[in-house]
Amino acid sequence: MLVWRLAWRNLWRHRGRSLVVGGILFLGALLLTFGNGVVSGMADGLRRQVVESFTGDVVVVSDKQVDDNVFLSMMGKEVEPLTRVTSLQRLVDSLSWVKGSLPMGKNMALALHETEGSPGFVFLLGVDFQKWQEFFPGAFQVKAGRMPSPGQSGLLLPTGANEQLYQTMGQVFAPEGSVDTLLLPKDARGLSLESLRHDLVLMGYSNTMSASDQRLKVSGLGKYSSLNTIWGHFAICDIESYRSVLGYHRQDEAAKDLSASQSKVLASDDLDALLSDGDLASQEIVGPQATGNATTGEVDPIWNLLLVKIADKTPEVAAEELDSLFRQRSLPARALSWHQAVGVIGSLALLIRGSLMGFVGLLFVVAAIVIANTLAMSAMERASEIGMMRAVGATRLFIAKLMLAETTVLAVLFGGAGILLGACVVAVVPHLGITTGNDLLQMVYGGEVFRPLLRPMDILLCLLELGAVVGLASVYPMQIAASITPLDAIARD
Amino acid sequence: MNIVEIRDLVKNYPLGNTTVHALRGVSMDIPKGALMSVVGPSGSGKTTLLNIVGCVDAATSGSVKVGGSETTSLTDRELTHLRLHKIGFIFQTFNLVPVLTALENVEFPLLLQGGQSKAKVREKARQLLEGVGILGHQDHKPAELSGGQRQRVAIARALVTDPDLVLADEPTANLDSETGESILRLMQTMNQERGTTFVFSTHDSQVLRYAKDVVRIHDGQLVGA
Repeated sequence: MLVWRLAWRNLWRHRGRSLVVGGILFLGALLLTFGNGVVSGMADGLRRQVVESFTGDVVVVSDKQVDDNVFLSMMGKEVEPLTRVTSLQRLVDSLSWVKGSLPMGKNMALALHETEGSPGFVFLLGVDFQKWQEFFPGAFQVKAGRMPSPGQSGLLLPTGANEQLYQTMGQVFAPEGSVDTLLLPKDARGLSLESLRHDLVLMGYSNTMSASDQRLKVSGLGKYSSLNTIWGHFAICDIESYRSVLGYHRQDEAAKDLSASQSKVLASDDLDALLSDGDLASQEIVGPQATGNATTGEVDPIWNLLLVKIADKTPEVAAEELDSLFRQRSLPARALSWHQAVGVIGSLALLIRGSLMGFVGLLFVVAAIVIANTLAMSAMERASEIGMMRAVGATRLFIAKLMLAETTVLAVLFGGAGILLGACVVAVVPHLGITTGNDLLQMVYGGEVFRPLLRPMDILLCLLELGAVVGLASVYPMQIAASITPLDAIARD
Repeated sequence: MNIVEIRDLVKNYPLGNTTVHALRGVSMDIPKGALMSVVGPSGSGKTTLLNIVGCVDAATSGSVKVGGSETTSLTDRELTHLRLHKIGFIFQTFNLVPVLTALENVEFPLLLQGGQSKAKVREKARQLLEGVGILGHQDHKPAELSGGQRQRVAIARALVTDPDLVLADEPTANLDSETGESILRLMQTMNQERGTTFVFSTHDSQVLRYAKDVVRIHDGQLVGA
């Protein structure tokens, strides 16, 4: 009690110095809080707009896949076919910490010019539209046309991909019917509706050299709800069309083949004879083949990715655990965290986050040094007073406590106010509607709108950081003050 | 019975390339209940002697016993404990805690000691302020008190822990003669009424009449009593 009374009155007596130190603490706490809000908002935004809208937390790929960056590799390097997806999905979905999984095809496709123009290219996703919408609800906004119905083939073309195709091919694509010209590439808005093309001929860009061209109707034109400048290059088509474009065996054909095989198995007792059967052995294999389970009759079609949403684990830990399970079950797959799977974006996100945290850390150190210096000077100025207290019986510990109490009072008052104001700023900023179309800033914003975010844990982190600043800033002045001897007081007289 | 026993006390200060011999083998005893004055010109070693006896400075060699404790071998913590419980200090420049009132300054050593109720501490501090004649100024901060009033507060603070020994280094040096004499009379009264041992240094021979014992020091050596 005596220490706190002395501390409070000393601070009041040296109001000017207290205001300087308090001001630093206030600004430091404000910036720490806001910085933490930006970092948290970014993490949350990225999670919401990448993980919840495009990739899932963990991406399962073939064990033959060399490059981790499966979404944004340069020039759309081929993503290896993923087999035994049914077994993989069954295993993954059985885990308590998995919220859901979705198989997806992903590769690059050439868009062929039907006359003599240059071809273009698009990143192509092959999905079961219904399941994809359930897995990523609201991820794509159809602005013209419509989403293909279940079982129906078609292509969803984002505005970004349309712009890119126009730049390379000089053709503009849109669904049939009326289209808002604002959705079309800027330079093509003056074109007549008759000149718009409603279908696109795609050919898989694949190492298997087995891809075939496939005409796909443009069902819808629209935008991704988030990070459209990045994801807008990814066109989405139904999985059957995708497999045709990439030259993968179609599911229904595989099922038909398997049924035939099953019939033979069931009809024959001689498996050796069956295996040498010309019909089965002479099937023309033109690309990655759908796998079948002869015992269960299951058809296991080709995909490229299995996207997994998780809870209660970091993506990195989840990926490690999945890898371990795949090895145990001899499944030909490996798992990647979303950071790995989106390559440069994940790295950039980590870099930006690291930079922001580094900035906050630097602020932390600078504030601690300035405060420590100010308090140390104050302790030296008060050598006579401190030495006198030591002479009448105050211990070094008492003096150290006094210095710490003074810093703590300042931290609670000014630092607390800084955290409070920082929290208010973080609460207000999302309502200001600060938006950006810049890809890099979108990484900082965690999306198109700047939405810093403070959770109770973040506020606790701010308090801990403030406590650490106070602790760090107090050590040196406490040492200085505690080393003052009664003789120093007398010598000053 | 001696409250302080000093034997062959030497104190040297390094000063640049030379050494200042502040005390050169001082030996003396201070009996309990003494009202002793250490007299000498400036630089004679009086303050150094009081500082070493008061455990705020360390001897170069020799032995100093305060209340039976050999202070030259005590740790900092033990010396602090000794100062808090056995020794009272009155400084030349009325060193009080500037942010505390007169009453709180007197309470300060008792609060450092701990173990007493707040009411008891307050009552004791009031009694002492009344004893030194400034109870009416108990709520004043040091800056609001005159030099004499501050020195009275310092005396009350020095006495509040009932120490065996009170050391006063030139307690009247910054006071006018009338106030200085009133302070010395107060110390004389406290010595007579409470039996507290007082040792004060001075270079003013006019104040010697208040002391029961006088020790003269010159160039770091005792020159007679």
